[in-house]
Amino acid sequence: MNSLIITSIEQGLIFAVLAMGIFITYKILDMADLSVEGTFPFGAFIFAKLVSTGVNPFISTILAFGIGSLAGLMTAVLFIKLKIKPLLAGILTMTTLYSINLRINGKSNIPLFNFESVFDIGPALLILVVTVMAIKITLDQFLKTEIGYLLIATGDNESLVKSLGANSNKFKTIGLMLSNGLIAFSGALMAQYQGFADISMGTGIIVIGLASIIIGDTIKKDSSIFNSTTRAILGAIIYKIIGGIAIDLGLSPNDLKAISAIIVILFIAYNNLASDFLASIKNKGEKKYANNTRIIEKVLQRH
Amino acid sequence: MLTIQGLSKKFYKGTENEIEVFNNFNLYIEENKCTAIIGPNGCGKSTLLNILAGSILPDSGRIILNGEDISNLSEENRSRLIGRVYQDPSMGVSPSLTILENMSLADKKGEKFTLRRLVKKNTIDKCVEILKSLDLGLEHKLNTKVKYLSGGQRQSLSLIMATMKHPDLLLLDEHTAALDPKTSYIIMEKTKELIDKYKITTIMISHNMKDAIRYSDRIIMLNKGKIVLDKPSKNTAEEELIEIYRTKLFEQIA
Amino acid sequence: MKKNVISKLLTIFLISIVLLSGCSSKESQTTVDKKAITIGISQLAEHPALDAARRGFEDGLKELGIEADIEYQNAQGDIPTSLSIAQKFVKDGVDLIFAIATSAAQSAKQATDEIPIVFSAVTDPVEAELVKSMDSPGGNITGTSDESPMDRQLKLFKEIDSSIKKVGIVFNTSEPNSQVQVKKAKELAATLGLEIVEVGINTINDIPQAVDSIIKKVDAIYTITDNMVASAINVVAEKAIENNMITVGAEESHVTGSILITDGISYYELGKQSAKIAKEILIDGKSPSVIPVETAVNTKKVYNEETLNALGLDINNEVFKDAEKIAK
Repeated sequence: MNSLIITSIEQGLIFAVLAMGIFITYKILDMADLSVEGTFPFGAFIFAKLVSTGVNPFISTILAFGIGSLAGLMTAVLFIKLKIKPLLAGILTMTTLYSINLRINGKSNIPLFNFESVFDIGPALLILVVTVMAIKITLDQFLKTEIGYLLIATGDNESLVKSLGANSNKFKTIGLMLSNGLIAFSGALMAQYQGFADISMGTGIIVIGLASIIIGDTIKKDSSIFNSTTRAILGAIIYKIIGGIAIDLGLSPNDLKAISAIIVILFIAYNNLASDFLASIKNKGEKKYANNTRIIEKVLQRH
Repeated sequence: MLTIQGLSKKFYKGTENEIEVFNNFNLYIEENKCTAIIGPNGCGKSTLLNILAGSILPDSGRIILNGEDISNLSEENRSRLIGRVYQDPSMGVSPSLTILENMSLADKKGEKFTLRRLVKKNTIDKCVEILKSLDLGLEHKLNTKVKYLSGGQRQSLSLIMATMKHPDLLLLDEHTAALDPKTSYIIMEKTKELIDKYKITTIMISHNMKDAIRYSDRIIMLNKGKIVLDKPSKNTAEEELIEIYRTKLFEQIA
Repeated sequence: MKKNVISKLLTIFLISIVLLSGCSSKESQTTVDKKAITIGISQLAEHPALDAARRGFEDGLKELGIEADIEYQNAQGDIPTSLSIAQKFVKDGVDLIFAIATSAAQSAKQATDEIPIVFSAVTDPVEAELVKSMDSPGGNITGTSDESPMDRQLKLFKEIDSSIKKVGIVFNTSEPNSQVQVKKAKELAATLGLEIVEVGINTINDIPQAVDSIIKKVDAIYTITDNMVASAINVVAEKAIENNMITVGAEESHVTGSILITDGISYYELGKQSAKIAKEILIDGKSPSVIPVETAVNTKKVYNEETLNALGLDINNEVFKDAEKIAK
């Protein structure tokens, strides 16, 4: 059982980077960026191309981040300059990336067994923990800068950004580029972890990312201890651990997907009902107080 | 001071719904004074504010603020000179950020935003000072997220954020209309305190004639893009304004 | 109160997961007999071809008299899941992993280089770096490839109508596998006295025009394994019939889509071939490194009766003797 938990955590950590990327567009900017499904394999294919021409795997992975962010730039240009709705812009980027991905290496499946990877230097778990922590800390610090706060403000209230003298489009572009860069980075990591890059890697990736964020959100929503990046990371790990347990228990393969969906639904329901529950006690408490006050007043009037 | 010259604006030009809001409109506003603009719906007061702020571009005309021709400046570029408070308390703030974070952002209004940390030690001190002088107890809620504040508290914050950097012009867009009477009174009082303290040239749109008279130095009534009344507030009585409204309304129906 | 309900629901859910483990597809629930052979089947996705390969494998094992504890897992198309499945089989210490489809096989390779792996439904195992060469895999992996017997298919043209010289192929330019097939077809055509004329398409809307343009230049049409062509196979078939042209396809599914005939792979048979390889490893003790990768030994001719009639062909032609009529 132990080793399966470890491999689940390892996969969870790789998807944690994905979740942090999706977090920037979906939660901070409040934008549905569907290019994710194309950007994840894009990062994998860029890595494959670079490492097959002899570039060091660490540099290749970082370059995957840089080049992957261009996918975000493309979506930004489509929706800012050409005024295409963000949802559609993301889809257009994704379909373009499909063709680009095939052209990068000329094949839809690139084995990486014979190339170096970042996991050669030590245990995968350790490398991943260090990497994810480094990314998380950098992201947290970035969100505390002036530009970082403006990113948050852009998602919150665009007219405020304008009145502060800033261009909200510039920040949406920054957000999209950062997000896609992280997603491509995650794809490059996954390619090295599984030993190959494949065009189908991106299918269903949005569900994993969103599920991770949703699960993470149920963990103490406004607690100062766990801020949002931590919650995204924990959400991804928990999601993968649950999946790992399901596989290990030998559940019928047909049920795997249904179970993942049910888990996400349960987490959302818990989230919603818990906050409704809290609101309802508040209401009941206030009503009671008002009633008591009236009774006391009536009593006092008699005297 | 603010000079508006030859302002013209038509909406839905060229269609059967075309409507002319301003035709060669002129206005001169003295500095450090508060000017109230009132008038029936559709008279052009909101459009005027939007044109001044830069969110709507006029068809022709010039706007000169303290000697600078801002007619061609974009909304973002005008914001270093102009502060604005909206009717909706949520429009001037970022709800998921705290009071401190919002004020720190406002402290950089009109400046270049960089990768330096936003909230610094002296920012905190500065914000506490400002909030203390507002005397609403908000200095104890520095780290409260704005979405948890009441409408009145949010509007106070919007006011602070709009005036923190001493703008050349403050635009108040019916900024107490969405508040209950008690809160509205408090906000109006605080508004007056702030604009007197910082001597900000202010244009205030209001539907409330009492407030308009009481809190401004000069009252202007617009109707269909034209000035129909322009008097110092202390010489104006509410009844006078109501009378003009009535007769104008009859005119419109006839 | 509501919170209690939720936590009760969660507890029930977790308990049911544990109970459901009893409904797993493990065929034997008794304590593991140290002498029993255990096999883990890792299938990439739900797909008729892959399902057939699995059934062929399981039936093949039975026919060879091999009794094994088989655990079947399906990754539902998700590569990380197929990796987890492979890792689980490694942890469980299975004697053999049977991986169906390229990504499932690659995931298995990533998970272990000791436990023997037999793959099926992998088109190019060398390209996928599963084996060093088809004859000499050289590692812990070998299996069966579903490469189309193109030579047999192209032969059918002359067998049906010896006057056919030029054969047209429509293909999707962004599918790498398609370009490979076109190249191979050209090489084979030369040896069969045929000439290939190809036309590339980018989107599915290009297909009608592409077929129209090529029909003028050729005597017959060959449909390769290409996802875009497959999704518009009826269009290709109907245009050919209108122009009284013979069509040969690479897959049975094409014939279902009204292509005249194919001599193709049965994934079920391929599964059985894989079972034989598994026997050589598990019972005969051979190392996968020396067992050559096999392609389909038995192919199946399948034809479409309506197309045959529409083209006015004679059912008594030699070609159709050992061929099966496609079911609707």
